[in-house]
Amino acid sequence: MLGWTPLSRFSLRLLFLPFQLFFWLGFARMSPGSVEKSVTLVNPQGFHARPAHMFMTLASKFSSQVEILKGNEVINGKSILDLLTLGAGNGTTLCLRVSGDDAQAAAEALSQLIESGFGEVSDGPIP
Amino acid sequence: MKFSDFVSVPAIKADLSALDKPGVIRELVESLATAGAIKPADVEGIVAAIMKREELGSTGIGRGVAVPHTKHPSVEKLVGTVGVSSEGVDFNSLDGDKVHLFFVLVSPPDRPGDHLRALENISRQLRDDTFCRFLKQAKAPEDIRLLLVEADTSQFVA
Repeated sequence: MLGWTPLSRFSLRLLFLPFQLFFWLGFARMSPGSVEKSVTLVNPQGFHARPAHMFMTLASKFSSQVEILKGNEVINGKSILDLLTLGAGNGTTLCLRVSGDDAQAAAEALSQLIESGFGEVSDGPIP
Repeated sequence: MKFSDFVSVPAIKADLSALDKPGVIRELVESLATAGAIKPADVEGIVAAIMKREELGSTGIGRGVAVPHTKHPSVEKLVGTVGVSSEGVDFNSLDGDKVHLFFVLVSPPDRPGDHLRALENISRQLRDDTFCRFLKQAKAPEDIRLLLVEADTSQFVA
C-alpha cells in the first residue's frame, strides 16, 4: 500500500494542476481591469446629441464595458439614448467607469474626448 | 422638462405624408408655423438650419426615433412638436432603421440648457418600450397628446 510520501503528494498536486490553472484563468477573466475617472464637461453646449454620438462611436471601438455615473445614476456609455438621458450641461462632472481588457486605453481616449470639448469652440454659441 | 413645456399640441402630426428626410422636416416645420409656434416667414430658414445640422450627423438616434433640431434666433423659448410616420422614413439613422417617431426642436441660441433638458426628457421616456410602441401606433394627434400627458405624469417612467 502506498504511504503518504512526499512523492505521492507531488503527483497528487500534478493531478490537480490543470484544474487549478483553469480556475486561475477563469478568475482572471471574471475580474478584468476596471478604471474609474472623473471628467468635467468643458464645451459650452454640454452633452447634446452630437457629443453623445461621438462618445458612443468612440466607446464602441473598445471591447470594454463603458459606464457613466452621474449622481446615483449609472448609464451605458455605448447607448446614445442612455447618454442623452444625462442632460449634462457645461461644467458637469461625470465619472467614467470602464471595465474590460482595454479599460485603460478606453478610459484615456474617452476622457480626452470629453476634455477636448468634443472639438466645439469654447466661446459663444454655435449657430 | 416636460413634453408640455415645449410641444406645440396643434402642430402634432399623426400621419406624416412625406417619405423622405427633407420632406418630413419641412412638413413638421410648416406644421409649427401653422400652429403659430414659429413665424411663417422663418420656415425656410429653420428648415435649412435643421438640414445643415443633419449634415453633421443624423439625429436618427436609433429605435426608430429622430430628433431633428436647430438653434434659431427667431424663437424666444424652446418650441417643438411630434410627428409619427406609419411608413417610416429613411433618415440615415445610426442603426440604419427607418424612423417612425420625430421630435423636432427649435431653441433660442442662448439657451443650451433648455435644449439639453428637452433631449433628456425625450430620451428618458423613449427608453420605455411601451411608450415607444404606443406612440408609433398612434393614429390621431389626440392619441399622441394623451400619451405625452401620460408620460409627463410619469405613468411610463418610474
